[in-house]
Amino acid sequence: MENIQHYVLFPNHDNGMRLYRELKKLGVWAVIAPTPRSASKCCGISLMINEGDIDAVLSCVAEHGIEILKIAAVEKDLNPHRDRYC
Amino acid sequence: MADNHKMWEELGMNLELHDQLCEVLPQAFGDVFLSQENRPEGMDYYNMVVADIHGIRPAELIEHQKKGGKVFGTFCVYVPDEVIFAADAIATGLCGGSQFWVPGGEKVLPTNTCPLIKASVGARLDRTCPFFRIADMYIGETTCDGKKKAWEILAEDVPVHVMDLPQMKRAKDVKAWAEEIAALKEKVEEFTGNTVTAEKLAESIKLINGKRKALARLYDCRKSETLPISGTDALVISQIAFYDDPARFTQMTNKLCDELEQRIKDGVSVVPAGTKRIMLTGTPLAIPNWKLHNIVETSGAVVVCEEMCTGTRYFENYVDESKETVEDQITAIAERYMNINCACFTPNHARIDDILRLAKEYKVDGIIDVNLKFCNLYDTEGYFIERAMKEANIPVLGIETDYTDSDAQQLRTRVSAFVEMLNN
Repeated sequence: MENIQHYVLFPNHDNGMRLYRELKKLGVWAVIAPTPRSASKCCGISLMINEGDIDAVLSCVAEHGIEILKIAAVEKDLNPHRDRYC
Repeated sequence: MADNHKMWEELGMNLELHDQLCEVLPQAFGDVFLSQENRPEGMDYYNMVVADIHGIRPAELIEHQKKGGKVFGTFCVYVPDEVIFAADAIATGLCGGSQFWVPGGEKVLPTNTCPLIKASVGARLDRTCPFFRIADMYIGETTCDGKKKAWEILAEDVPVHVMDLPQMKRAKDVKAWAEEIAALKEKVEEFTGNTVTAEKLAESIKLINGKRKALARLYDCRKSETLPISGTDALVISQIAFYDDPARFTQMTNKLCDELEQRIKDGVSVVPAGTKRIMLTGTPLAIPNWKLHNIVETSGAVVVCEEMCTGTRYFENYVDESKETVEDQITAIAERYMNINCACFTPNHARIDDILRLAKEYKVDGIIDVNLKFCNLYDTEGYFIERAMKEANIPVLGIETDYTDSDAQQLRTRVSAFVEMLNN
């Protein structure tokens, strides 16, 4: 699964930031990112997480009553030489 | 996010067209930023700002308007935010940095207008940027001919106030700029219904100086041989500075700087020792224009400084905080802003002095002088810059580009050759 990146999707950025802060407290790796288009057409923030942390993330979500839409598995596709800018 | 769509609809945006921009942002951001290794954790704040760039801050501006506040859109580092915030209004940068908005601008502007102006006009007229929809009034200025005519076109669609920036730096020009700032104060007071008092102006001078100091601290970290942050990350921070809430931006940037200073102490660098250090000079790189930084930093070099409006011109020099009357405060503001060295001034030798000074401070190995296509002023001034750098034995590469992707391969070839030359 090395080529798969997991993203947590949210209904709004407040829930995203709450989860981010709670995960940081727990020492769980998470990076704020734009929601990948292949995961959702709704733009906004998502959290990149490691597959091995999914259970910890879901526990944190349940414990703190954080709303998430889903955890999406997306093929890794980061290419700094692609030269496709906005 | 669903909330955003409702907000954009209420702003009268063209949702279908806007969706095309939303479609390309995640991939471009991923390629340029998330592909970097060993980024500072503090960059997550700026990731958040960009990830929901048309959601979070626009919603805050609308909340401000619901409480009776006004929002002013600005396009230039000469427009003094201090005056706007002192009237309990909010200033937000509006410069367009995306090719996506250019065709909209070309509907009304000559093709041989610089992409920044075309994108800014296109973003308004095509209704594809919430910031351009939200701003109650635009504050223009006379820094180039293209902008002067663009204000007339925009003024048919939105209230525009234009500040007449003198183009020389004699004592009478500084006085004339102070008069323009006083006229802006009156306009802002009339538009907001709020009086700009000495107390209010003192507060906002401190607020904006605080932002400048945070940016200066960030740039100081980039002077280190141990480079704790990439140029691309520093660029997006500079770009965000133009429209984020100033107090929050200052707080988050200072927090990031704590981390960067610790990285320097711990010897944590984002590039291997010996990586060639590049300074970019020239025209501004408005968000989301990340092309050149990404190309330089994926061609074996690193950007350590930008002598640009999205760089040192934005934060260097502070407004004197000791003045106690509005008149003296306005003079102090005028003096600070007239220290910015833009190519619209003649003569503009101080800009060459700035570049030579910055090259030493940031231990620069080479300079890339960047010109946005059709910016005649910076293009012409490039002659003096290249000559001065050659005299100082600083390698320099002149580049002209725009917002399209079509010249990326050519730029890669030229930048790679330049870096190779620096390495030999």
